[in-house]
Amino acid sequence: MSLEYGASSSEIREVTQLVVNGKSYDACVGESLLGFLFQNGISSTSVNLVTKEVRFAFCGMGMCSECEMIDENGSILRVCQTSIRRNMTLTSRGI
Amino acid sequence: MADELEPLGRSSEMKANNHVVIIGGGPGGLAAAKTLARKGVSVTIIDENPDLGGQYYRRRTKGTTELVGDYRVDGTHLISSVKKLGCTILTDSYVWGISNDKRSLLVENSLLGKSTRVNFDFLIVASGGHEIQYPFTNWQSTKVMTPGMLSRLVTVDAIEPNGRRAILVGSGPFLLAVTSHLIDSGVVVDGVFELTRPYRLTVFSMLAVFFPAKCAQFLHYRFKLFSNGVKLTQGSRLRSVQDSYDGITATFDKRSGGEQVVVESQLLGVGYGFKPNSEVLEILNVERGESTSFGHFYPRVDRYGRTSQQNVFAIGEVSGIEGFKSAMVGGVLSGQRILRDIKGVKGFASMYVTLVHYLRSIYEELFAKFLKKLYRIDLEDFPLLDPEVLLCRCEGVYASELDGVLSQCESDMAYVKAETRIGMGLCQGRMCGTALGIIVKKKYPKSISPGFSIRIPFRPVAIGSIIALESEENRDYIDG
Ligand SMILES: Cc1cc2nc3c(=O)[nH]c(=O)nc-3n(C[C@H](O)[C@H](O)[C@H](O)COP(=O)(O)OP(=O)(O)OC[C@H]3O[C@@H](n4cnc5c(N)ncnc54)[C@H](O)[C@@H]3O)c2cc1C
Ligand code: FES
Repeated sequence: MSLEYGASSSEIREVTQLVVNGKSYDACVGESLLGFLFQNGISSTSVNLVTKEVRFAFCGMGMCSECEMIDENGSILRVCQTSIRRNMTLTSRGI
Repeated sequence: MADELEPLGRSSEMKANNHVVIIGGGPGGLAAAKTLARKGVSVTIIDENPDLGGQYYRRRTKGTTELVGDYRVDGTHLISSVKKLGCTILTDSYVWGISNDKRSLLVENSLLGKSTRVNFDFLIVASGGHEIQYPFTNWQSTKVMTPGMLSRLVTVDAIEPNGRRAILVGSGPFLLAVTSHLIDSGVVVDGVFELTRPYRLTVFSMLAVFFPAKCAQFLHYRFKLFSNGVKLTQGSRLRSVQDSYDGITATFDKRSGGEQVVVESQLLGVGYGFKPNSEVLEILNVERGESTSFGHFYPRVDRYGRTSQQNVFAIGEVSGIEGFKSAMVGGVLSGQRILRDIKGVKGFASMYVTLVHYLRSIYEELFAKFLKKLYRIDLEDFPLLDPEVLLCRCEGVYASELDGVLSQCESDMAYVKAETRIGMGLCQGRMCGTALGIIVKKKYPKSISPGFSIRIPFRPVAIGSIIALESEENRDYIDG
């Protein structure tokens, strides 16, 4: 979501660095991760191990697993069920 | 969040008699919880999402709410009253199995990667459903998604439209609802493609006579499409999607004639109605209800949601009736029924509540039956898959790999699964299972396709989760 928008209410919205596949973004803590990736045109959440294709979230409700990414602790998370945390670093699953 | 997690550790000791556990914090589960908790019954709600709400009342994150305001405020009120009533709420918690004695659920907290047991005296399964898919060429494109996902992006996640365009494909009234959400948000809809042919004058007249309120809703959607110049095409089936520089090109067959229709847009939402999240009910050996053409499992339930298993209820989408309203009506009725079982006969007020919801549930069921007839999809409506179509997204299995296997399988889906790996991936056949069932049924028209059999865990859980329960008696029950 655009930051000009966020800046107007900066007292209540904490901006953090979100790193996705090596690229750094300004994001707001507590915002929907799926919405953020979509809004910023990031369309790779996983790479299929068999077909090697890039995949993006498909079902948006925790069923398909296409949105699984790896976080800074090495844990797998589902983008569609996650809110942005402070200093998150995400990598597409399967890269 | 931390205070919500705390009860997890204690849950295994929860010994209180008459403890009600509800799987699913959607409209159905919330209505049941409220009905029970306000009469002092101890209730635990388990949901895998970070917050309560299910599909219909999915919450905006705190950040998004601060930015653009709340969404579906009645949901906010319902959730906060359930919280205030002191229900134990286990969010980020996925029910992945059931103990041998069928009296406790195996639940993983996805934030902690740890599992625990949650005991129940009464179980209400309000686990909802997910969208049915039928593959086509390049459905794995990053620009293809479910209508439900498109809908949540523009409503819950409140993305800015930024000149985006989309088309909607599939079947059911849900397509119209999503189209309406997209239009409201400023996304341009380049067309709606309904597989069946439900929108006829005779249908609208019948609706007007028997279900005037629902008819008004339909007409509202229809008018919105019309006034925004969105074309609604009936009887067209999607064959392929091609990625272009900043969008997609979708190709449709006309069912009646041979001519193809080609449409350009940026995003494509596709889904053919909902199928139930029925794992828990199947593992509990709950009796099946009416058989459906795609072999989905629906439980046989009475009007209170009682299944064939004692003290196990199924309500809402998982019981086969779509719509948030009927889920809530089912929630109240199951709650009232349990209150009667626990506390005996109750007063006039509660009898009145039961009666009103009982009648409403009859009305909703009649309407659901009407819709099922209206949007009835036959096997022939779906084409045979071209060889290059990816059938199983997770395991990367193409339709061509079915050759040979299909003629040897004698309609046994387990055989196909073992030979091809279809349905063995992360989604456990949730995306491709219905399609494989249809393909098998086309080949063996007389077969009764039961779909994939359910195994524990219902989907991959952290190894640590299983190890944590390893010493317990149910170890032998865990598959693989
Ligand atoms: C995007 C979208 C928009 C919709 N819009 C409308 C509309 O405008 N009008 C309308 O009438 N209907 C609408 N529907 C349909 C409506 O959402 C459903 O009919 C309604 O939500 C069903 O309620 P429910 O309580 O049965 O299940 P749900 O709301 O689906 O809730 C079930 C919950 O259970 C959880 N769950 C499932 N299995 C497990 C498990 N094993 N462990 C833990 N948790 C689990 C799920 O994550 C989910 O949160 C919409 C659906 C979607 C997807
Ligand atoms: S988008 Fe399907 S699981 Fe997240």
